[in-house]
Amino acid sequence: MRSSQYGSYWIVAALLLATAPAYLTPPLAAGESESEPMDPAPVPPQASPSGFRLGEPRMFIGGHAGINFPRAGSDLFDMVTRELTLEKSDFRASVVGFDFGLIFRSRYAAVFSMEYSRATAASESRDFVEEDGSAITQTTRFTQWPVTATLRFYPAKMGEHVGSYAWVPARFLPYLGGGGGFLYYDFNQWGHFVDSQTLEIFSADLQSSGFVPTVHVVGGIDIGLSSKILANLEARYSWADAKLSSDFIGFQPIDLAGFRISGGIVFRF
Amino acid sequence: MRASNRLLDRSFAVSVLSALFRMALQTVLLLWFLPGFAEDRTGAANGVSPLAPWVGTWTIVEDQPSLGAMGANQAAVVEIRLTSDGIGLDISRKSPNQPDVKEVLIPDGNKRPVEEQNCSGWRSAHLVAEAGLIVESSEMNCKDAGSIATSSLRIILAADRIAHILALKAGGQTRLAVRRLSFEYDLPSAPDSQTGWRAVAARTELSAPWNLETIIRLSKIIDGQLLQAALLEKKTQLNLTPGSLKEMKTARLPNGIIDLLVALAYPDQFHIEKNGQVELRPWIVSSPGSAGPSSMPSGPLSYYPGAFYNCYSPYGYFYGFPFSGLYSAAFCISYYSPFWWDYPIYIPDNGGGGSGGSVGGGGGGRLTSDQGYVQIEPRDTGRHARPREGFVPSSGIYRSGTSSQSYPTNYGSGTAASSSGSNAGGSSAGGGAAAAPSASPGGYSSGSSGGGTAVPRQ
Repeated sequence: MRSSQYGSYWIVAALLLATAPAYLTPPLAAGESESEPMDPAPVPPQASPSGFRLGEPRMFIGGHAGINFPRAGSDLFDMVTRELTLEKSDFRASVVGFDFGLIFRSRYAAVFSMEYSRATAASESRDFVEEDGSAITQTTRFTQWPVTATLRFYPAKMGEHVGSYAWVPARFLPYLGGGGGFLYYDFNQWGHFVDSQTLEIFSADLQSSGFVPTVHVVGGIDIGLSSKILANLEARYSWADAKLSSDFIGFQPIDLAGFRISGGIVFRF
Repeated sequence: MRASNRLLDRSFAVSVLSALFRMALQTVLLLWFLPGFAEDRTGAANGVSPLAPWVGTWTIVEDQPSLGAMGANQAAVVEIRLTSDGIGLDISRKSPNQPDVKEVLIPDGNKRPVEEQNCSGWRSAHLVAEAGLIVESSEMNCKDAGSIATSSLRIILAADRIAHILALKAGGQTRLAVRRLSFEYDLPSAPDSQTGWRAVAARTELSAPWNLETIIRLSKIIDGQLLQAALLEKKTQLNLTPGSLKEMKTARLPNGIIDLLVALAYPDQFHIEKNGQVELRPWIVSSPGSAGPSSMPSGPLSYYPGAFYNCYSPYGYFYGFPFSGLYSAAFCISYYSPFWWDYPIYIPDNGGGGSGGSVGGGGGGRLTSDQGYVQIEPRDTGRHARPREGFVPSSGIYRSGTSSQSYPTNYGSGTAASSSGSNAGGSSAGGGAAAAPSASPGGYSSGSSGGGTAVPRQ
């Protein structure tokens, strides 16, 4: 008990250390008015600016990780959660992604993202067992791979020009946006199933996959850790659906909508 | 025992305190007798004139030694001494075979009218003591040279170096000229001036790098182009931070100044070119009656300090060799000042915005309102890739192989393998439902017989 308590302390300490740069780096916020005393002594030439940039950034790349919460609103999910020992929460999955952004007009960014999430859940037939009493098991895997473009709008300017070359980034940059793209999905079940008519147990590999269009809205915030590195927090809600393949007969289109939250690191240059 | 310990502690404390007191007293006495400690280094605090650091004998630093050797008077020195009332500087250029060129500078901020034979107008100067600066401005209407406005800075750059940065506004142009002078020796007859190491110390202190606060203050009283030139002369390098940049913006420092401060802070990332510099050529003059060049115009009997004269005036004209003909469209003026008299100021009448000039040679386009004294360009890194020797571009491309995806073994009772999901868009082909396992809203279907039979859970 005590060790687990200390373990949680260690986790908190690690998190604080990981986020410490956000608090310890020099102030970057646009609009701040504090001034620092200038050293009258000659200073050696600075190799590169600290806390500001020479020139406005034009693009960024970054990576993010998070959790995907599929809405799982179509009858396919109703069926599998009814017949198998699955819950809709079993389709939640971790997400990893990569972003590439182009910044323009100080308040906008076009972000091209690629993500990957896969939920794999083992289950049993909810109502039936083998004649010897053993469970009838199967595995369900739900994969999503969206490739999207998002237009972000930053209500506050990303930074402030001072003169023609110096650019002081803002510390906190909330944004809203929307976009679309394509989503590759793969819904796959394999294992043993029960024929609902004959109660026959059979093995099968059922799969439906394909590319479908998707749209989404996002809201998030970039937090400046330095003039080049940002932390990013984002929430995204996506809409998409797809007709199922011949392995799944008589279903509504599979609901691929869902909510995703993520955090990441962005390198601005 | 305890009482004796307490006594020991008390005596120890008393001895420490008395030692500290003695040390403090000695330090105060030492500093009291050290010359110059108690006074303000600028000299203002105890009656010494704040102009005293300028006093001394100076020589002009040649921008172009080779040209200077051709005609300038090499033995000329500039003597700067306090005026008798101590409120101004008496400046005179002295040369063995030439009449003195004299100027009196009173930096009290008052406009003084100039009414001379050839020029009329006003001059004004004031001292920015803590920055080691004398700021001047004038407007002159001269018979020979027309209407000319000037603003200038005299600045202490180092213990042995001063400079005069002169901006000339005439004929729709603004041009900048920089004259540097090097300290030679103290004036022997200057009993009330700071001499020796005290003067050196005062000049050293006044030549200290400007901080941002000083630069912002100077930007309110000095023309931006002059300030840019001064920042360059002082080789100003600030430790820039987001806070200092914000301070610059809040203080509405002109963009040209901010850019220059940024460029000077990161010299390896910017290239700085100077615009609007004048040509400074040494006098090569000939009196109208003589056959060849001499070194200086003779007898400046009719010249007046601060006034401008045409280089081609009857008092002595610009002989021109080897520049004759090249300057046919030139605007050449001579500024009657001990700092400048040896060098007529040549302003090319190119009228254009212009490219930058080199430091020594001058040139460059005129300054315009949107173009500062300096032109700053981000520096090219100079790193460019080139093919290796013998490199032959490949005509082919690499193709990525198509990976085969394996799926879990299909143990389905149907004869058809499960569809592996290649049905893009998920179109449903319901015809195969009878032969292959499938799922439907009602549940799963094996598609054909085989395998065991399920029983309800207990």
